[in-house]
Amino acid sequence: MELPASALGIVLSVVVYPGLLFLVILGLLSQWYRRKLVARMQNRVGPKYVGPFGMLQPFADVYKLIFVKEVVTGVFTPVRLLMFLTALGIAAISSAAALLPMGPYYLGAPLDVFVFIYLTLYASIAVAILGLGSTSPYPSFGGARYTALMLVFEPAIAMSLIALVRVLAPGSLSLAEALSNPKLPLDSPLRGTVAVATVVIAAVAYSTSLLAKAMMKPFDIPEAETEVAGGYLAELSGPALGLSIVLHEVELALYVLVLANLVIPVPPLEPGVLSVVVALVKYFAVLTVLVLVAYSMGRVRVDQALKALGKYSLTLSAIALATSFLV
Amino acid sequence: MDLPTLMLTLTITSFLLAVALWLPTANKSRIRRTEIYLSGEPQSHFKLSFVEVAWAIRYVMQRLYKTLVEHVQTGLFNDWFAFSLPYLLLLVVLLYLALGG
Repeated sequence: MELPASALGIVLSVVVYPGLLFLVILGLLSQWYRRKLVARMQNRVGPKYVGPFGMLQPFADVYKLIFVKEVVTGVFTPVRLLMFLTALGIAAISSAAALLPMGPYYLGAPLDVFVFIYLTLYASIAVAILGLGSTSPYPSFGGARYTALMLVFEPAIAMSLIALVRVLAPGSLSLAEALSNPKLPLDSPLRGTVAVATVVIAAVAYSTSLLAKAMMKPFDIPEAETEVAGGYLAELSGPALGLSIVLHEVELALYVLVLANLVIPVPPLEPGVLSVVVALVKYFAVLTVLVLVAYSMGRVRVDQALKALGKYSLTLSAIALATSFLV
Repeated sequence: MDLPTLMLTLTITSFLLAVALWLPTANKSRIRRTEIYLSGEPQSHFKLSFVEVAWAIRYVMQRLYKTLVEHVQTGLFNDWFAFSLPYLLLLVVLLYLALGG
């Protein structure tokens, strides 16, 4: 399962592929795709001018914010600390990507799904502190709302991920093994039915939690423009805003990549070029479904969001986790 | 690679990469500070005394106490159980995994 990983191999897999560089390119391309799709749904054009079909617009935006603009902030905002937390979130997501069996070097161990959950938590906490750390009331409201939702969607994501990995790699609870060598127990009809049902329930719970985590509709109340002026992003500018956008896109890209390859486990994720292309096709298919479902709904209030997440995310993930023990 | 080594390796790598991303972007020369708006008064009027902080802490604790009394410690066992059920469930799962899955 595990290839020998030298120090250089770890650095390459965290910084270049499938870590930081790969995730940033995939995340920003996904942002373009998402914006184009939503624009089509709303009878708009979407990004158009930079690159073919406007594909390079997110890259141009992030480049300008990080390398050209300056940070304008209040005297009491600890903006350098907030930027470090954002960078830490991006770095932790990149490190978590090293657990995916996509490159020549990948890291894996029994129970490594818990390492994945632990590393991705840095990103959520960074987003919450980005809002709460500002002295302006609007980002504070956004941060407080995100924290309230986080208490529901983080356990749900963890439970649904453990359920998915338990079904696909029952012996080791290893994410790398569940992705590279999935074993759906289809030997008896009953076990097979329970396994498929568990995967479907966990996928629904994971997707719902993911919409809240990525602050996509209908759970985008933490960054509602008309109510809290953009929430946690309201007081950020220049490199701080650029890093926050990168963090958001990188986080979404990693989560959707994992979801797509766990829910559609055939063909498995392997280091070869063809396998990675197939994985990306699965990624964009799942992203399309998520965006179409999300943006066909309207924004809900915080209490409604909490109730919906409790119902469709936390409860379903607990059920999926319980049924995964029956497989 | 075993689990603690993997966790430690990736945590250290994350912190090193974070520093490498943070140092060039959080350059002090590219941060412009603006004064806060105090209804036209100069910023020197803004002072935070110990008494004000103490009142703020009291206010937060009061709200926390009120929340606990109204939603958690209502005196009904069912309310407490409903509140703590997800956490208990997570503990049971962790216990199960700790005992060997």
